[in-house]
Amino acid sequence: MASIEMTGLTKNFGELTAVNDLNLKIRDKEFVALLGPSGCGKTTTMNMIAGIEMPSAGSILFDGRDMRTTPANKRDVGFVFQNYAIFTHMTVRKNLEFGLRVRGVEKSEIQRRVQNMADLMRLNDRLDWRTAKLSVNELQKVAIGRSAVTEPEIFLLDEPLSNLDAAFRAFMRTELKHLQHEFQQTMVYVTHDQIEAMSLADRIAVMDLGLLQQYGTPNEVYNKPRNIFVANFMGSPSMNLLPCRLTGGDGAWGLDFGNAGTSAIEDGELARRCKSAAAAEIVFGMRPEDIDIQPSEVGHPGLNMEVTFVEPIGPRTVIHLAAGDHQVKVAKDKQYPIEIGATVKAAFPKGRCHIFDAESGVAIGLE
Amino acid sequence: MPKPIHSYIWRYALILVAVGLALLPVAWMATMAFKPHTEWATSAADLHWWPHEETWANFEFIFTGQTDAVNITHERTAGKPILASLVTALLGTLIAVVAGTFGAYAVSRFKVGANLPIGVLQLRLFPPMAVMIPVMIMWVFIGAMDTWWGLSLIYGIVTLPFAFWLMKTFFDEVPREIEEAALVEGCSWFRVFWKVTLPMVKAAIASTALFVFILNWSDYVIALLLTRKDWVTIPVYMNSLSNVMSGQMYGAKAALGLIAALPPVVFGIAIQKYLVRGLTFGALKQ
Repeated sequence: MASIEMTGLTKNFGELTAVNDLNLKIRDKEFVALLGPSGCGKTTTMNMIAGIEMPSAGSILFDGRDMRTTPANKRDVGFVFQNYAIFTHMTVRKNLEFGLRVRGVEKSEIQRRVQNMADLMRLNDRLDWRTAKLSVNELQKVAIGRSAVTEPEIFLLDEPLSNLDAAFRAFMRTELKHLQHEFQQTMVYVTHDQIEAMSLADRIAVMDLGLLQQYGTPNEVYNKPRNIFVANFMGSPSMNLLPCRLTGGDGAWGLDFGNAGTSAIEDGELARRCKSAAAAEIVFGMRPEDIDIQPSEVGHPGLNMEVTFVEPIGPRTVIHLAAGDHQVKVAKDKQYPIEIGATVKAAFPKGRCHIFDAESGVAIGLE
Repeated sequence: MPKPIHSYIWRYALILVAVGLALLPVAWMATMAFKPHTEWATSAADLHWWPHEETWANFEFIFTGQTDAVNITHERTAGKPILASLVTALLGTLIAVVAGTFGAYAVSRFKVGANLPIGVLQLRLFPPMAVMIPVMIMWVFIGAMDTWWGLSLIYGIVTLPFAFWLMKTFFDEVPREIEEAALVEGCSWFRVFWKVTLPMVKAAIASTALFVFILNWSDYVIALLLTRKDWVTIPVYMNSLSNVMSGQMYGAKAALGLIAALPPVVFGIAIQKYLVRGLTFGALKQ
């Protein structure tokens, strides 16, 4: 059993607040990704869980036990560093044995567990190599193996895949999932890569500027972003965000996009959310893959826009549309038949539109 | 495209000239050590590189105080000064490197004593000579004059700043993550230092030790002031190799100089592989 509960967690470095009043509960055996751009406080949070940094305020509980007075070497967590932090003066075997030796595990048991881990990580023929000779991919495997071999109940990974090449990254993603399945740890995974977070995590904590922006399942975070930051950060290409004015009133809401035109709102769900709007200035959002392209004369709510650029990106085609001051990206299947210069209707997807308060950036009317 | 050969030729020619210039006096000393008295005490017109009659007389003289070749005797021999130099230089190096390493680690990692690095550096902001008179008085007071430990102690103190600053730069280069990794694996701070950090900087320790050793080994002034008879070191002893009758005994000095050059060379060769600073600290992303 190993749950982690952070309450009011704050870390200041002089003037800078790296983590600000973070409240996060991570359940036992859960895989949680801390997602955010660099400098958002995710690594600092991780260091505080490991005990490498002490919080300026707030508390961290492992299974209800306060960790305040427990130093890093007594917390029994596994930590994989972004730059691997391999002990270069030791062989691969010595690296893998390290944690077990420190814990005073019996010799035969050390051998057995190191052998298992080497099998799992496919490092068998590298065991007696000096680490200086290993490739980056192998170093990463040693780093993960070294932390996993002690079978910690809490496993912390700080951007473990960010230095790997794309093919190996995909491979390691599966491997990590597999590892968690095998050892049933509680995993906290720091990343700035939303695809990694989406594909690995049970829940994602999106952070920015030291503040928790949203905490939920990949599905929730992607489909019900709490604010503009989350909406923009999740997904590639990112969500189309169009500043506009909310017009009309109950029963007959409309959107005014200035020189790009206007559109009525026929979507019942969206109309319901419009009622909660505090101000007329809002930001309207749609995911590129949700937008439907229709002939311009169709009466469906949407904007008539001109095709400015077509970008084939392998499995998909990204179509760039423009009208007035607004640009919209639409993601379609590969080889989507469309011509540059044509005028089409970017139809608002029913039930999949987002509205945010222009000033605060908070999603309007989200329950 | 391979570089044209003339670019190499000039570079190597220049290096050869520089090495030749540096080695010239050493070579002269080496051949002189084997020249009989008549050859090194000759007039400028007769100077020659290679001894006409090679002899061990100079070595015999410094170790026994007399030789058949010259009609001079010297009451003190080189044996004890060589021992004194070895003992004091090695102990001084040990003191400076051990204290410097621990101090540098503490300052580098725990940010304790923010002004300490500059404070230590101040020890080098004036020549050690400037404080030698007070030190002499102190040493007399604590009975450290002309003792092996008194001289070792002052060597350790005088070279500590070098050891401290060198080690501090090396420790600063060790990535924190390596130590943090060992820490979360369950090591105490001391164990982290002992099992992880220290082995990683052992090359640095070796080069620091060599540097400090050479400083101690070649000291003249401190030994001159703090020793009288029993623990006179090689440089001080060498200065005594003169005589009213014979003047400066260059042959004997050359022989002793040759012996004195050996330990740093041997030490240097022994740790040569560590001196190559291509060693990387920790495996980090490129």
